Amino acid sequence: MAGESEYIIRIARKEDVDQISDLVLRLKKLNEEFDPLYTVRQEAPEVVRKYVSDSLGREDVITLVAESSGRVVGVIRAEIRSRIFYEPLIAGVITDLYVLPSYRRKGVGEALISSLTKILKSRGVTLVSAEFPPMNKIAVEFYTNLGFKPLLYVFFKEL
Amino acid sequence: MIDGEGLGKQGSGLTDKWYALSLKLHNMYRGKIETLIKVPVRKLEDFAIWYTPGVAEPSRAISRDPDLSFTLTSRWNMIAVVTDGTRVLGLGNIGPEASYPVMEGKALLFKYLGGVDAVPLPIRAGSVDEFVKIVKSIEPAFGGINLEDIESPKCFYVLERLRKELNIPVWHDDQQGTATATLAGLINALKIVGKKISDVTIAMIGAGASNIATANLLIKYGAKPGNLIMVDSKGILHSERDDIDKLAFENPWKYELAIKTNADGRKGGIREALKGADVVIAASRPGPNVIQKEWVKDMNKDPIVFALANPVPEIWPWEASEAGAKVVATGRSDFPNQINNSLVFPAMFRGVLSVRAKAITDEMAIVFAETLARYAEKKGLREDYIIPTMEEWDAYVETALAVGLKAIELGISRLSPSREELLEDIKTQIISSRSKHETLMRSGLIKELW
Repeated sequence: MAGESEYIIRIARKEDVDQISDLVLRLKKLNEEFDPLYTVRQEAPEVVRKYVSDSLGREDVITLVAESSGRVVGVIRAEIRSRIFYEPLIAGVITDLYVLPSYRRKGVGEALISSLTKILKSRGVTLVSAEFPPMNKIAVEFYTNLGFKPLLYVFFKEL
Repeated sequence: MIDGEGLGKQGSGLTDKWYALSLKLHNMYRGKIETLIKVPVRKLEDFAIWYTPGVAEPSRAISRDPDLSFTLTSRWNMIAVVTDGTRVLGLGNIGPEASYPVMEGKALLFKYLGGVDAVPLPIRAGSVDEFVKIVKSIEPAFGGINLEDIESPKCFYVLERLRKELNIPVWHDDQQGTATATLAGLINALKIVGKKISDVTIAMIGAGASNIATANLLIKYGAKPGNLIMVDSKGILHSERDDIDKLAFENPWKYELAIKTNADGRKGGIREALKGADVVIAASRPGPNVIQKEWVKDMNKDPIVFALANPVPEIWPWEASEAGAKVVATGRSDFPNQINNSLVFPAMFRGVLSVRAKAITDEMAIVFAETLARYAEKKGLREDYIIPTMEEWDAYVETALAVGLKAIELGISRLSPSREELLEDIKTQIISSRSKHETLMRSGLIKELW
């Protein structure tokens, strides 16, 4: 579908839950491509819905959406976490970022990050990071272009 | 238009006969091509000209100006037919050795139809990087590269990189050759039904190398991306299909089309894609009945049906006609309107080699298709004649000329002959190749063993 180029970024609302859940589920299913350890559970649709819905009620979670012609076409979710050993003490961690394919390359992802960054700064957060599978080259490229650098490796081994 | 319920069965019996005969004759002739000396050798001293010590002088000259290798050696007319043997005919990944007969056959067609010296070059290349590295390293020996029978999506990566990184034309015939022949046929089919490329809805069945290239060429020619409906083995491509993000990683070319095409977000399978469509271009899997008669009836008025799978088209041509198709084309020489890249690659390379072009651009492919279409139009378009046959050799001359002139106009040729000079060279090369072969046959040096 040819995407609309007009969109707004706003804070997520209760009535967005279904649409956001659809996008977050797409993201989790994409991760499945990268590693069998990301195999999506059968119950994922309900779990995602609860995850999204709970997030909207949490003080330490920020969920923003990109809306175009009344439709949610992109979402970003970040948690504010403390880093008890280090300065700065708190950081915003992007756990989910997804934009529908036909709305990509229009700056939606960057706009979501930029709005999130503003909110984080207003809350005194000076560090933002993002979590995604290492094989997601598109994410690597996206964040690298925005000036992000690797900060933490998470290694896995199946027992 | 074609009457022949029995043709299918006859066709397969005939195919078996070809298999047996081909194996026997390949064995008897021990391959199909050899190199031929084209300069006089009258006495021993002549070797002092063609080899040492004389040959040092052309070598010195080329070392000062490498482009002189296009003037002082056979390089200008020599291409490599390169494959890794990963997707040969309908046989799949049979390996480089097994692909040799096919590459050698292609070399034969290049020489016979286009006067192009072609070297079969099956290579053992695993990754895209390795493939690209090998072809880059052989660039000094050739005036052009014809890629062949490489699996998708590897073929897209390889072609894109080699087109960028090499200073000689690189052509992937399964993509561009088929796309160019299809465009030529479609230009004339649209004339017959009185429709415009910018208005029609085109269903494309199959999203492999050829249909992805065809879709891109049609868009360059003026088709509206949103009016293309592409179908692969999982159904109609659209931007929100479940596997869309996976495509972004695995096959960016297909992903691009999934987003650009199908503006209405149509969903479903082949049947849904054909509904109301003006044109269907199928390059998917052997039929019949991949496309059903009933579905053709659901198309717009005066449907155009290109069913290009070999050996059996997605729908038999007579079935398509019975269902109301106005123009029908297939990939087969025993039916009318054969859409075949053999109409393209010999003349495409003839044209670019004669002007020592550095590339083959999409504009050149479009000019080629337009010229091929115009050739058929001049002879008189009919529903069963939208594209010339391989026997109309002057079509090769006209298309080669057009593409050579286009390369000059685009400023990517090393030579800039006049139209007359170029025409003369093209004719000479094709005629010389044929008459040498005829002479060898007449003299009995090439024997007719069957």
